[in-house]
Amino acid sequence: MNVLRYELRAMRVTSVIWIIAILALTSMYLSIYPAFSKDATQLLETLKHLPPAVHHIMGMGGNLKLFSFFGFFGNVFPFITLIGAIQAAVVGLGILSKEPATSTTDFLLSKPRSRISIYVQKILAGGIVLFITEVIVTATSYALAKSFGSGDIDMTQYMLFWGAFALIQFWFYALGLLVSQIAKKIKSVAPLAIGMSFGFFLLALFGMIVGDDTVRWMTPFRFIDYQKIVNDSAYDLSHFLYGITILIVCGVISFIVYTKKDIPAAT
Amino acid sequence: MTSILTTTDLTKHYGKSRGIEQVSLTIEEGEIFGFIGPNGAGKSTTIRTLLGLIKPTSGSATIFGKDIIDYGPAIRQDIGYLPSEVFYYDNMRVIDLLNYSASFYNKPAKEMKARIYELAERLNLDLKRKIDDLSYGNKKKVGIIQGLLHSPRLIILDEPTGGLDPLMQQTFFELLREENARGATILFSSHILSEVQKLCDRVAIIKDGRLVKVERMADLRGNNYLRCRFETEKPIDKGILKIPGVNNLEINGQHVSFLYKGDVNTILNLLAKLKPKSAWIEEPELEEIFMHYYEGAH
Repeated sequence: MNVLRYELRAMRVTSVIWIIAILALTSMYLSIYPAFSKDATQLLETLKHLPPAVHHIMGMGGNLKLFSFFGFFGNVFPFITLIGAIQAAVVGLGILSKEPATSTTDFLLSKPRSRISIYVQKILAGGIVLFITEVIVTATSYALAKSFGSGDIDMTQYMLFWGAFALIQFWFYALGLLVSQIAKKIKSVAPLAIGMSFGFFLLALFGMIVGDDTVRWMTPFRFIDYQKIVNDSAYDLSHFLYGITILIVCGVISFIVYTKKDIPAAT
Repeated sequence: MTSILTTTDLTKHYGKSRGIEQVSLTIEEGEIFGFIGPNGAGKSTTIRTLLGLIKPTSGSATIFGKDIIDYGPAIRQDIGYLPSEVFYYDNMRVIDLLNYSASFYNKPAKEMKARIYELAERLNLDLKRKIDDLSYGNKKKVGIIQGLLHSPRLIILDEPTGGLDPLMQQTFFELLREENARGATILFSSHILSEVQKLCDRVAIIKDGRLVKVERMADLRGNNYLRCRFETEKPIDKGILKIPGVNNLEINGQHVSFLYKGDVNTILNLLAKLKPKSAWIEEPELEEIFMHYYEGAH
């Protein structure tokens, strides 16, 4: 388990920064809520005059309870998941590609460990970092929601929201792993991770604007429908299972490529 | 002696281009085995296949009697490897990297730690520095230490001396001889023949992915060939040197040079007839023999 330990140590500092960033964004959004709910009636009046497309972007297409806490949270939550997705994509793209990028593959793979063992330890390290991020963010933001939100917070809905955050992170993690194994060489991870996350995010926004449901199969940001959480306290099962399948497929492909490929001599 | 490494028709193709073709060789326990050939001949491909970094297209190889594919991790417990180009995680300190490297091996941690400090002392390497700040030569020293810290049974060196100054090279060769005296087998790949000449017991010559020759160093040089050079008063007729045993004949006006294999008296008699102004008959450099093999092998 020395590779796992090494990888966890290597991600220590950046993980702390990511957690702080996600919490900062979450608390910023939640701090708006008291003012938001106070001015609710006034706002409702204004919103009436906006074109229907804007309603869609804001997730007001259905019968979303906009001014309930989760109604509000459902609107700001996508931006929180965007940050989470970038973090996960950075981890996923980087964890298997940092050796090729720095020509250190020879060092690692000439050691007495099988590729399978190294793959599993690395994947586990990335998974643990994301899981720890999710646990801390979920717990801390609960305290924040308690202090900013009025009244009781529905625990089921709260967990479904942050479960969605975790799932989105794992989807982007898996996509990152896949891309890192299919791409020839990844020189720098961050721009690619940001590009990937924003690309899927814009696709999700576009889908909401035109109200096209096929987009929901194309971007992990829309595999889970927040309106359904608010209205039914549940995920949409078909999309959820579809997302899990994608997770497994990405994992399997990256595993096969990583364990089978020839390592060219470093130059 | 038991064989420690055996390859049987080991072949690797990269798509359409050739890597190595049916390489069969045996390395005995305790020997220092040279592997020579120019860049691109297939030395690294062979070594990388042995280490499991690339998979052979066909053929097989065993190290310590175990198949390299089925028992890769177990075999690598006892292999020390130093590649020609060394790269390590830049943001680590030397000691952290070496400790990480040591953590892969099932040897007592204390022994390995002691070995790290001992080797660093001899190679004059500061363990507290960051890898990023090291010169190429110093990175190479890190490579040497991480290849030797677990006292491996088989040491595989792929053109290891680049970046080391002559003094360090000497220390490095000393270390290798000590490892060898301890019982380690060494596979030393190089395109610099003088290094191989200094160190190796046997040598394999590889060209265009195929083994051309495997021979004892003592047989390869010395007894067999003589390098003959002489200078005459007048230009000489080339035909006069067309006798068996003369190779690589070069006539440049009054200057003549060739490699000779055979009875030395034949050459002396011939020289007496030609009445040269000056003459040298000496043991050739390995390089010359090597070139001879190289040009001769088709």
